[in-house]
Amino acid sequence: MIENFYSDNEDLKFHMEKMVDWKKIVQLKENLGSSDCNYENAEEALKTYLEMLQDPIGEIAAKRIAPRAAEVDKIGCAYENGEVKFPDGLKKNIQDLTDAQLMGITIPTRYGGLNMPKIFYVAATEIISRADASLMNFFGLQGIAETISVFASEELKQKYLPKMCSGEWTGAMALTEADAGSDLGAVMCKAEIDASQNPETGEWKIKGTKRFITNGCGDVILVLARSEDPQKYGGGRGLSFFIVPKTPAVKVRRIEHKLGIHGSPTCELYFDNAPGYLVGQRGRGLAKYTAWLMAAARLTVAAQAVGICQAAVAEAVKYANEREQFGKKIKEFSQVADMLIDMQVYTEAARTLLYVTSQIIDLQEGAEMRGIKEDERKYSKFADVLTPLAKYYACELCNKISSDAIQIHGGNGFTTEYPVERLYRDARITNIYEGTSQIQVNWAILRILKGDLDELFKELSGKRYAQADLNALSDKVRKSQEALKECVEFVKGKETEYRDVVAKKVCDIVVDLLVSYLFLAQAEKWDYKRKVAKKFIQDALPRIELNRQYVLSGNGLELDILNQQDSPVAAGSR
Amino acid sequence: MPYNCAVIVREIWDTRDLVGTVLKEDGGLNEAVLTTRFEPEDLNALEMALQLKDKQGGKVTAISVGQPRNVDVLRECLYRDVDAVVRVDVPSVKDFDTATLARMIANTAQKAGPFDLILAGLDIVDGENSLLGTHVAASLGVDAVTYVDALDEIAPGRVVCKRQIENGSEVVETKLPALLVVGVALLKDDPRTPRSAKATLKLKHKKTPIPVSTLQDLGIGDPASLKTTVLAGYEGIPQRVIESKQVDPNDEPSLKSMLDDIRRGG
Amino acid sequence: MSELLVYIEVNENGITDLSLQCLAKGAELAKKNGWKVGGLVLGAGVKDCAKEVIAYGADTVYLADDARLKSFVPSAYQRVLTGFLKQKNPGMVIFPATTRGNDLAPLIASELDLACALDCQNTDWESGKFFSRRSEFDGKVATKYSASGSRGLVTSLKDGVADSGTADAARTGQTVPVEVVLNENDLATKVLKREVVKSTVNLKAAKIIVTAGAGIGTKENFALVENLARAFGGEVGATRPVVDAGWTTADRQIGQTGVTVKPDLYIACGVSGAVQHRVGMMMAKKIVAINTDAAAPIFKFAHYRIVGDLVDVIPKLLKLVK
Repeated sequence: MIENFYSDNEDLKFHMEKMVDWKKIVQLKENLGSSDCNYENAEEALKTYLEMLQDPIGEIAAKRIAPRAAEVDKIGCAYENGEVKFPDGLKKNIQDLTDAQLMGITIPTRYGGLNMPKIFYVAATEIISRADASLMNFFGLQGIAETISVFASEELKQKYLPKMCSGEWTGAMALTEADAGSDLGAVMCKAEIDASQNPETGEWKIKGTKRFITNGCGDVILVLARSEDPQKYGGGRGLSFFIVPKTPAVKVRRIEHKLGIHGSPTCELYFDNAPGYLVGQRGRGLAKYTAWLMAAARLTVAAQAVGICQAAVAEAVKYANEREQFGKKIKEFSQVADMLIDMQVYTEAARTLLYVTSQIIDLQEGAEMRGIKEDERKYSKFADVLTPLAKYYACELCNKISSDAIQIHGGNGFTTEYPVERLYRDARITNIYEGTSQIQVNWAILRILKGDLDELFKELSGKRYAQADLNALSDKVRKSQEALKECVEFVKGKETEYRDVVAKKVCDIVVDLLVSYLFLAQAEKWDYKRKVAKKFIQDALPRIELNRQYVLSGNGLELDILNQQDSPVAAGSR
Repeated sequence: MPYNCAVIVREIWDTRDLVGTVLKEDGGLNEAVLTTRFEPEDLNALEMALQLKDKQGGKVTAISVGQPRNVDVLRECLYRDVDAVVRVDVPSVKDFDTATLARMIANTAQKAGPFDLILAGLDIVDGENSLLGTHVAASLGVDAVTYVDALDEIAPGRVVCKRQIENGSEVVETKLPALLVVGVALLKDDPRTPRSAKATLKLKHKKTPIPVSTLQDLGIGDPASLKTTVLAGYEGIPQRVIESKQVDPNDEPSLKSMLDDIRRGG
Repeated sequence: MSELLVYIEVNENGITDLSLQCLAKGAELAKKNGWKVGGLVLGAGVKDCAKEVIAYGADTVYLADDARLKSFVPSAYQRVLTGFLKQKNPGMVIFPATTRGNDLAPLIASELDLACALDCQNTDWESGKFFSRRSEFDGKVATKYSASGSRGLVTSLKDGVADSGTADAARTGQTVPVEVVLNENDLATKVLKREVVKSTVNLKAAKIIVTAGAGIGTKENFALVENLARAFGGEVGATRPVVDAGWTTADRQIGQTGVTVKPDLYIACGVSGAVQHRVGMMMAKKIVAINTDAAAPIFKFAHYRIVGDLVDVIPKLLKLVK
């Protein structure tokens, strides 16, 4: 019987135990040796982290949250008389997370949090999402408290953080509007303040409508609103960030009826001159705070996606071991085995990118906190490319892998009797929210072309191994890396439109190269990973070549298919 | 009104889903293939004590015998917010029978107490010969209520609880101090489900020193003299071999053929 | 001459079957080592049981018949038993492994400094000593327990230890009254309420049993299990959580604190297969398990494994059976 979602996951354990530079991360995060530090040394911190992943996190996930997932999905959230109603299972889940004190993982202990590194939070998010992907939308909203912790005034921190860490208050972030989705610069929601008040500390009035607000019925809402005169500061420069506590002036108008994540209420909010308090500086709402919050959210969604991958693989393997056809277990059929192998390897690939990214973010934030400028610059450069790539990769894969899990289940997988159809539905939002895959690719490509990953590639490709077979594989990957150089040079010389067309292919090449190198580094520490590395590189090299040819072809969009007079689509759009 | 509780907690063999043989060629226990866990009924007992504390106040003290093997049950108790823990300082529980363990625990409880309630899990665990809780009650000279699955009422000097018996249940009142042997059959989402560790307590107590009582502290000279029961050896039990068949519930013919097999007595 | 003692449990329905099994076991051992068999009967209005105990194989019945023993208060029973046993210095006392027997055996062993081994499958006389065997380690190992030194052994034996045998009305034996001296303290514990269902079913004799486990989830689904049992012409069984939830009566409970059954066909619906339940049903000839969790332990010892929700599966079976 599955009893613990951390200790039964050998790959996650391997990442946590073997692949993280805890010494450095703990030193930066905890300031070892200082009086308010929780630990004597890095080993002790690590031991505590790992124990905590097992209990309470892995324990609650497997024993409490996972058994409720089907029911939470089936009942879903409801909207009655202006109130959002949670299914019982969700209430219990939130209570369990609160009881175990897991709602302020990265927040400093002085505000009631655990002051743990981001990579720990990401692992916890993966584990919780595996149990119930929709619950990530509560557990994974800790980025809201973290935003307050990093940017808000001491007064606001004192007021909001302790209750958010204790779980008494849940959060929401209200960015999106009907006409401001991916383009947040178009936000219309207004913030005004009486001239008699101090804008830094006074009470603002927020007015406007926000849409697609996860947990919009929560107690503390971070709102992106237009505070500046559009004549003077248009677009994103006119936007500021506000904490809006739940009051009668914050109205939930309706909730969305969705394909998946039924355990997460997606609200339409109307702010009717709701009191709000400025976070940080005026006019930096979009460029600084939203960007920061979104980066944090992308990482959690990537973790959610990896959690869904893990759940899908576990279900598929279980079924393939149980189900017999033609007198033998279906996993003994080559086509089924092939799918299972792919599902496992690519889950590990997504996880690899996720934790490398998380680790780099920890190093970056730590360096920033300790004022180590050079490291901060280096890691922040890496993090800005890796975060969108990790989100893009994990979310696309979790769609594929949850779909394959249904395939393994055959007709049974298509029914609600088995959990895989729920995983498939839940997976579908991951590559949409917190920036669609297309947005992630846009973010990443700019930085890839700028060469922001060059230094990282240099480090990875320069690594030599004690084992000849790993070196041989590494050589092959290095050779393949030439393709990336070629593509980057080629695309740089082309116009923006062409760049956008092939951006996804370039990103795919980058990810394939990165993961190949990272798997090799893992193979050095775990024999099993040699097989994984070999298999992945076998797949990746021809894929890179294919993408290279595509990128270098110079073939732009065949727009005539959409627009030409006699195009059936053009006809349809008239 | 607050009540003080002691809970007896044990680290036991985890014998679920054992694969292969547990015995060595020489007939001894092959400990290498075994792991341990927190006795689940002891966790239920702990939860009962903690819920009483949440409701009425008072202190919860956890008592255990022997050095931890894989799971430090006393530290786990600290992570769940007990107020005090005591370890009887002997190398291993395996050297003692239930009567001896009970004497150690009873003397510890007397030293660490007074307690209004002492709680223990119901299970007679692998390698234990008797109900530890009942022996502790006998050693302390207090009344025991066994097979308790709910604490209905507590008032100065008395406690009322529900116990499971064959074909039904009893509601029993006894005087304090009393010992309750707790045996709970948990339903899905049961409010009696043991809580998990609390994150901040894990930070706080990760290195909290665990107080120990030595046999000398407990006034036990030679524990061997307390031994009444001998574990005389292990014998392998031949396992039933079952030929197992998967039946697809969505496939009517296979369900039908299963029913036909059964009817034929196959 | 030495005497082996057997505690005879008497409840609303008279002498329990397991007590008779223990008595038969005692008689079998006595034949081996030449001891006498004494039956211990405690209660209020239990005089008439003495004859029956003798008919089932006791040489002597020690009878404590007292109004104060009407409710089972362990401390009172303990006082009476130890008062009597102190003089006897017994080599062996057998209790049925019931809640009552398992209460008394350790109390007595502890007070009289006797060895104790509870919940045993069997007990035997081997080269001048008693050994009790208990199934441990997931049913893989029988652990042998015996008394240290020259102490006597107190043991409790589980259902199935022996055939309860038949009464021989012609057997004769002595009935010896046991003195009942109780103080206030002995009676401090009070049974405020006792809810016991009179057994309406004989699960032990049933050829087909359909059992509901905690996985059924609701009382409504219990009706579904009942329908299936009816369609098969069998009886309904339950696991302890189902009984605790009040979805059925306690006389239908199978497992550690319920009955042990050996039907030809056992259909487990939503039963996880925890060891507490397994001990009561693992000797069924054919086991069919329906459970949503493919990893449930029940599938490790089921002949037919149906992974699915019983709400969907049972109607399909019903259709086919009819």
